[in-house]
Amino acid sequence: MEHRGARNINSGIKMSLNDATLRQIKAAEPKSSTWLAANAGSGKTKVLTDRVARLLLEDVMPQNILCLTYTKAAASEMQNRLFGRLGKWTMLRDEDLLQELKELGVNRVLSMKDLENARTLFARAIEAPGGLKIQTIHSFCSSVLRRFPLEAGVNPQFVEIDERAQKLLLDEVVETIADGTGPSSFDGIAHYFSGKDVQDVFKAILDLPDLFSKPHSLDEIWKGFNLQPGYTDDDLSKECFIPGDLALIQKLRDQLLTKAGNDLNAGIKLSGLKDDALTVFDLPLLESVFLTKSGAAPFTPKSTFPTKVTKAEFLFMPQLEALMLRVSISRQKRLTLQIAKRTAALHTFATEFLQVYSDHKQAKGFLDFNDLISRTRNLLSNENVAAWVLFRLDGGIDHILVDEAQDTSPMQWDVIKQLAQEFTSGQGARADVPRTIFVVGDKKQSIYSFQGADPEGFDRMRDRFEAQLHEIAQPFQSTTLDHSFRSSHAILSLVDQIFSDQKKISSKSTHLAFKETLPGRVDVWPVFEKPLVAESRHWTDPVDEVSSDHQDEKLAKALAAHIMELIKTETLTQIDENGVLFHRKITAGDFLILVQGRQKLLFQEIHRACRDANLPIAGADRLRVAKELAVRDLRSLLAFLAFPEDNLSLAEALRSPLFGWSEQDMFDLAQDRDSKFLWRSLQNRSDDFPDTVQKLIDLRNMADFKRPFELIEHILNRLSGRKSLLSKLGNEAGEGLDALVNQSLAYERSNIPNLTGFLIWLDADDLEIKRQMDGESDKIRVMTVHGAKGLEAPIVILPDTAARRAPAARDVVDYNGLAVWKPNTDQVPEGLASTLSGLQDRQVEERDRLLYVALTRAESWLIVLGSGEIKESHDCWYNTVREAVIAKNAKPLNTSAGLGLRYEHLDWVSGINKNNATKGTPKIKVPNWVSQDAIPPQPPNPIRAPSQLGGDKTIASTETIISNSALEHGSAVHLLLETLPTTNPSCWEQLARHILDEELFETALQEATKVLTDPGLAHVFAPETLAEVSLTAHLAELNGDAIQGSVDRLIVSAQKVTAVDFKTNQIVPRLVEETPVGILKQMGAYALSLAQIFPEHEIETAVLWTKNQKLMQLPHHLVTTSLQTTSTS
Amino acid sequence: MALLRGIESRLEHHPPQDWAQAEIFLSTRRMQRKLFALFAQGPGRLMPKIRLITDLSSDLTFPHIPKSVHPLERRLEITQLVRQLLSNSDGLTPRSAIFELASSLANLMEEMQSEGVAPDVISNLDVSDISGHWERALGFINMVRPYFEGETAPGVEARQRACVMGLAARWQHNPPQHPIIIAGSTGSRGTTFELMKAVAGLPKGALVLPGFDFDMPKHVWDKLIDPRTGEDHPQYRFSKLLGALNTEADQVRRWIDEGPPNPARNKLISLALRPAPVTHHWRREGPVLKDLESATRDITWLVAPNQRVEAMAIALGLREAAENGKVAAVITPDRNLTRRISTALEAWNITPDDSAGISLNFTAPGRFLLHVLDLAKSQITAEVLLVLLKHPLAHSGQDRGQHLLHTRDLELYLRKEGPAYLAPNTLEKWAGKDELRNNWVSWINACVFNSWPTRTSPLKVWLSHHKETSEKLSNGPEGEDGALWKRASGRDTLAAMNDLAKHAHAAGKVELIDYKAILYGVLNGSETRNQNSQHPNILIWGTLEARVQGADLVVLAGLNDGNWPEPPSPDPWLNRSLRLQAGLLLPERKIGLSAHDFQQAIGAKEVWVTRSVKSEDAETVPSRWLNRIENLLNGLSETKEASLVSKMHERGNGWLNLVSEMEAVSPPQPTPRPSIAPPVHVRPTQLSITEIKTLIRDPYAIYARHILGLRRIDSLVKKPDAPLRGTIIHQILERFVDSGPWPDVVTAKAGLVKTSSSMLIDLVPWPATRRIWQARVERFAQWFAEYEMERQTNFSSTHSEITGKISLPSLGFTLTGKADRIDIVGDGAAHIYDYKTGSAPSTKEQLYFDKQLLLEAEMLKRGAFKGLGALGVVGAEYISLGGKAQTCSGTFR
Ligand code: SF4
Repeated sequence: MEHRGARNINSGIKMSLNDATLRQIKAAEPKSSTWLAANAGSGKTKVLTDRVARLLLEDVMPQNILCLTYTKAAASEMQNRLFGRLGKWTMLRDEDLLQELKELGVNRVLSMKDLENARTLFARAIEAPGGLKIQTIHSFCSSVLRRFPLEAGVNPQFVEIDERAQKLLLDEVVETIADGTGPSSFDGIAHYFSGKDVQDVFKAILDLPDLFSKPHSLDEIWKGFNLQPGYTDDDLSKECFIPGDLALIQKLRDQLLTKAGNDLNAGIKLSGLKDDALTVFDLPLLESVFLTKSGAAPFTPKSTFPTKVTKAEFLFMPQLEALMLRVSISRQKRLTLQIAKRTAALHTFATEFLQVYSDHKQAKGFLDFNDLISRTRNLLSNENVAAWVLFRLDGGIDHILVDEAQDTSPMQWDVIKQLAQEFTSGQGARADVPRTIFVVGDKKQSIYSFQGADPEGFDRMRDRFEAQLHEIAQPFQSTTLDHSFRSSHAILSLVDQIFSDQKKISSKSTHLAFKETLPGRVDVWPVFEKPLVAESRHWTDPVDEVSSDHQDEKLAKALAAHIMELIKTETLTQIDENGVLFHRKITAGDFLILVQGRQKLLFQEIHRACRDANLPIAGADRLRVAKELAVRDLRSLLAFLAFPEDNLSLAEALRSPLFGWSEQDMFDLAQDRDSKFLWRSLQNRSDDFPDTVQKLIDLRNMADFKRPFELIEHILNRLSGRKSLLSKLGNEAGEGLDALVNQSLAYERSNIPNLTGFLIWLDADDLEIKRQMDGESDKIRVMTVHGAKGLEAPIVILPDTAARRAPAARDVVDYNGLAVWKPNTDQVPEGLASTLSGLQDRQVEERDRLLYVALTRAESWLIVLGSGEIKESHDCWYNTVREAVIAKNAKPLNTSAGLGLRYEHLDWVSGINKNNATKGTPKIKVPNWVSQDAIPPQPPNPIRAPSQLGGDKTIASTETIISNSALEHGSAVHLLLETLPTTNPSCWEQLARHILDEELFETALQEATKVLTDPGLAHVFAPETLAEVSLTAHLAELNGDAIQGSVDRLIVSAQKVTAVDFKTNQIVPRLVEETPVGILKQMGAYALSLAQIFPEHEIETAVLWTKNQKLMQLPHHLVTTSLQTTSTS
Repeated sequence: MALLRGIESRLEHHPPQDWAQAEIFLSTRRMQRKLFALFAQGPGRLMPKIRLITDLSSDLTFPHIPKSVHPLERRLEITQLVRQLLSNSDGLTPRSAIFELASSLANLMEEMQSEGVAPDVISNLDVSDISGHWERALGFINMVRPYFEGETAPGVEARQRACVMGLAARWQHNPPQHPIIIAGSTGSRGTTFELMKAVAGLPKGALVLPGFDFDMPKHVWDKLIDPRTGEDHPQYRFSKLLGALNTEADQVRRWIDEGPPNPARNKLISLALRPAPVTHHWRREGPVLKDLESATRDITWLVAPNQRVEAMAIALGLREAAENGKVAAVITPDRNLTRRISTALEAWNITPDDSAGISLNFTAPGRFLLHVLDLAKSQITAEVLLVLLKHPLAHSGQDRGQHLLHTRDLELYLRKEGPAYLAPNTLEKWAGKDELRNNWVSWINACVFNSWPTRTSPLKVWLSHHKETSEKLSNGPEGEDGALWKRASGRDTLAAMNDLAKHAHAAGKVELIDYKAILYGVLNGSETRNQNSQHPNILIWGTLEARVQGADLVVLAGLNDGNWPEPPSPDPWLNRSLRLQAGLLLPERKIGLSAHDFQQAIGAKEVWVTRSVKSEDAETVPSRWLNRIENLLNGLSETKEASLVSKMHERGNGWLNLVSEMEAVSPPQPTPRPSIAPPVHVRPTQLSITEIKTLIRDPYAIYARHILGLRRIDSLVKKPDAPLRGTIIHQILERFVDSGPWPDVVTAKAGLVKTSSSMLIDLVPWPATRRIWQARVERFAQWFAEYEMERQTNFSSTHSEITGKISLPSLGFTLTGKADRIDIVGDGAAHIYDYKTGSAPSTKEQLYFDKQLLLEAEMLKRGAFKGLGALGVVGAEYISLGGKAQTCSGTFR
């Protein structure tokens, strides 16, 4: 499907230099530092790529460009785009290339040389030494740290740890801190855990490294809360209570106890007070009796207490009122003190925790995600070091480009600032080289604050850079891209309507449609209300079944029916490459359904409704690997293999598609079986289930030898596990299996692979992987708005638009520079409350930006639905969009759920003038061999060594055991006899010492010298003889097998060839006939080979017994016949 | 093979002994093996001396050059030096980096020696550093200065260089008259380069240059010589060599007369790979290329969606080759890809002949050693022990069957009862009085809980302790016949261990983490060959191998940038320009070598080039060479549809379609919710109160447990989870309640806190969890104590954890259960309590499925609880001790 998934349609559309492209060209102008605010769909990736291309055209060396992207996927996408563009240039005709460069915005006169230059850019960029630096900031930092381990104080082979490893490490760290018998800093915070995951607090500490970078004293913390240093509970007690208060309350209590209703209740409550002095700990009780809980003035003295009658009776009302006022005032202080204490405990713990965590990381050579950035920042923070680092980074970075700048965190900005330091100050070693920074982003699309994104940083940094560059008179421009190459005017004007209020999204929204002629629609459906009657159900109904009148189920069903209808009947208008409108049928791939959360019922219901309606729908955009059925089945089998007594796992494996047992089979086997262990019973009945048993036994046998990866792959491939699972669970199951296989590889990288360990490792983390939804072929996509960032679709449906509770702020918050551990909502003192509500506001803003992202995914048609309790007054997406279409004079719209609204731009055409491209894969014939085992060819016979043809090598009766030292002595003598003859005898001793170990040297040299100096043997070592001659031949006597061996000495004369082999045997045969048969065979093999090699020569073989320097010639027939008794291989 | 044919043609009319005179130098052991094998296929013959270039480092004819020091020994020495230096410095560098820094420094030193660069050259480099970091780096480099100055024995590289220089000098005076041939080397290392220069000057010296580009025009050769731009070109090293020999490229002759398999393709590739400064020549020279059709006809270009599919398609291609009796080879540097291909081939029972061995740390004995090393940790978990006991090499001598039975029983026990961390008495407790078990346990305890060397000990001590423990575990209690060092992998592993022991003295005293790093480095650095029966015609090669071997079909796989070529590894010492100044190798050298391998491999007759679009998490970038070829060809063919590139892609897509076709499944039929109706006679006649909830919510679980007898087995990892917390807090409360009455709330609270802390120490082995749970108890202690005082004044007796049972003859069913607590109050009526460490069930939940209190009440009324008789029930309450401590009255009527 070509009409979908392609971002930035403009790259394919031939266009004149209109306004939209002129703006792009201006933004890509390489001479000027640029801050670019780019609307959704305005082609910022193109501008970024263009700018890199133009920098290269200006003769900037590729290695001096740094382009930072937000994700790895974006980095490789940009590289591929750039290489694609530059690659095309290499072969373009001059006039076409000129045209291309002109469209790119190069407006100077170009020479032939310039064109030639442009044609080499491709190879220069692709082969930039050290690689083109288009990467995420994390991988950039990682590569810097690896090159500067000494400077940054890291292990040069450090490992970047993932979430699972971090989790395991945190566990270890905390156990270390908590270990020991005495009190620990951990006790301090343990008191405040309320049953949720303790790791949340650790993560919160790690997310705010700057706030914990130095320890805070108690006084500093107290000051942070505006408390006097050393202020305690006692101080507060003294402030709040005056002598006589207790007596007063007792009197009051006694009086109240005589009453009824509220007064009586209050009296009972007051009875809970102890009879000794009043303290801070009594305050909560007093507050609950004396103070209001809510209303216009919460936590102030209750005017209705005590009741009128009692008031009149009670003699000490003025004193009581004064006390009530003091209790009210003290409440703030009490809460503040409480949170100060809590915060102090957190800081005490954090100091130790961070130290131990960092020690553990250091010891293992780990760096976590934050470390990469913070250590690079620290490395660069010293100007001198920064200069040194830049010098060593292949001549420095002259041009920095930053993509998705709205999602850059403050610490990342620091790194960028430091990298740009030299050229914003106009100094440094390369002050004469032009240097620029280019930053592109869209504050409206900043939706990653939970990952530390700082949308305000975009403007702040712009102002900063602008001022600095102004100072040194360098060009700077701040500009915007307002055109959307994606959406119809209908969508864009709706967006502008919604975000016309500046405050809402922190920057003004103005959009221009590049595709002016593209018709568009925005539909708002009526709300699916919550059913009026409370559900009642039978107690045997499954608890997780959704009742059929639930609003979400009704919405999902209506939506599925609507999509069905649209696919059947509706037309979609689009614009082709030449800017011409065409009309085609709508298909499932045109729909993108965006939800706010995946965990919600609505998400499941939409999936179910589409499946029930037989609509093609892609799987969830995120995959929880361990929850996948196919993965669970496979895991069961692995668990059984790791521990066969795991009855349930075996049963699950058998019932799974891997073995395909029916419920009845299972019942027959398991019920009333003969052993406690299912596996034993199964084996006892192997006659009934021969295949299953055999398969399992085979798997068991390999389970401990194969690594988990190989074991899983064996099950999936050799045993067709993949196919069986997919045929039962559908093709989507494949991705879960792929993820599991990838996991087994990841496991190996940090563990000694074994099956038991793998299963435990697997269970330690609930891995979730992101599915690549742009690759799905013609299916409805359902995903979260976050997941859809960067995607687009002709028709976008927003079904999940009711008000949601904004996500709670993190556990630890920044309170005027002090890290504070957030208390429960009802325990928040006033000062902190405004900080928290500020955080809350930012969450609300982010929710608005999320809506912006959601709306701007749509090309032509936006459909908004809502379910649940949506009142008109609610501040929710549904109402936001609804009000906007009303303001745009929307018309009524009939929907299956009642009357809705439609806002339209241009007329929607019915009828089609272009058929949808069908890209069916041609059916191919599967060859037979695909389903057959390969028949291996006969393996070649091994090459045989003449010395290994069998038979004794020594005289059997006397020399049965060849000792190690004899062997060593033998090879020492051999070595000397090979080496010495070519050297000067005066050097023999030195040489022998060099070659041989101390203990062998003397006797070996003695023996060798005797041989070499024996005049009777001189002809054997004459200069024209050959030493250590390897030979090769096929011997018919050995069934044609090849032999390869090496003859110690070969004497070749005109008629005769003599092969001499040295033997260091201690017992030398006196007669030829006594020669051990192994030696005869060896010499026989030589003789026969040499006969082939020297067909004209007479062949002779001889053994030189080094022990007594005897050269023994072996008769030809003796050696050759000895071979006939040799077995063939 | 061309090498052999070239020699044959040169020695054709010579007497046989001339063959024996010739010497051949090769660069890898595998080439050597291959050449021997080729000779074995040929006629009877005397053979040349076939040596490795690296063998020269142990050349015996230079006794005045001292024997070299083993590289491992040198590294261990340097590790000591680095440790000393770091202990005197600012403490910036972490302790764990020592071994890595030392290795990196050793590599630099060896490179300097091989390239003949003296330390002074480095210290005199022109560096503008005012941060002082260069001084710091120099400090390290100066540390290894003594190794350059002949005061110590040379390293392997240094001796190799000295021998080569000696040989060259000797040859100068007395040039040998027999053929000396260097084959398969590109001279990328300085020493080899020197040797090649020397051989080229001999009367019968010959260099057989692998993959020499005969199609590259002179003007390109001339441009190549600048290392700053040329290093990454496949022919760069040859241009350097030609320069050193004062020769022009056009004087280089082919080794054999017969041309390459596909001359047109070689021309195309040569042009595609032109160095960066001249790619604009494409437009001029491209159209001159002839016969592009035949150059590309036998190329299949396969772009798979992911690595799995890539592997599967390649496997299919190999399977077809096997069917047709062709020799097919896969070349890729990506080991994961070759593993995937190997496992994919299992579908047809093909084990490819993989030229790479497997690292020892992945073999059974290597893994066993590393598992044993886990015992050196302070705390041993059930996982660590069982992984070891279940390892096939544990107790691998006699009686393994008995060992496995014990292991199984122990695992069952540990899964059920096992503490988080094991102690000797854990196993003793399991063994009880059983003599067989006790014997077995004392063997384990002796191996597992014996003391490892203390903090710092000589490396040798670590090694021998480790080895001894491993052998003991492998041998079993009878102490015989373990299989640890048997089989090839065991022998190789033992050799590696012994090798390390031989050099251990150089390391001095080390800590556990050093020992681990050293041992891991050694195991990781040695390989063992796969001994299984392999398919002789389906081969997997490293990238080097294309230099010497031919195959009918060559698959170049994993062609993504960052994989092939691999990026140069980061250099912590010098940057590119400093390296250039110093005369060291530039980082691009590796890329140039890969390019060279690629250029040579793609010249084969039939070729596949494959890659995958996505790696595990992101889109990939195609290998630069593919990008070049694609752009060149696309520019050359007129219409895109008919372009040669599309045709190559089409062939690739054909295979991808075959993969889809082979894996296609028809859409599955939805399966209905299971609704089991087992025969009446097998249905359970007895359930506990808590199971009633399960029966309502998940009847299948009851079916599986009671009818099929299948239960979820406990996890091997004991995690402090909610159920465990519940059990333990129940126990604490039970003991506390029984310890009443107390004089006042303060005493009661203190008692509860104390009971809790002493019980948690016994019951919870995780320090952090213990403290969290203790804090939790302390949070509700005041509240609980107050109410407990009240309850204690009201009841006449209290009964904790009391079991009950009632049979209902009319249903033929027995209900059993355990009540947390029943108090007898006032006039002998009962009050039921249930502790909840989480939140109590809501009224709705109690209405629909959580009927515990109701059932307990009914049982009480019918006198089902032991010793209590039939009682009236006045109250039933959940005591919820979750976030906020409170009581909630339950539905019990
Ligand atoms: S040992 Fe040295 S001096 Fe003696 S022959 Fe050999 S090279 Fe010459």
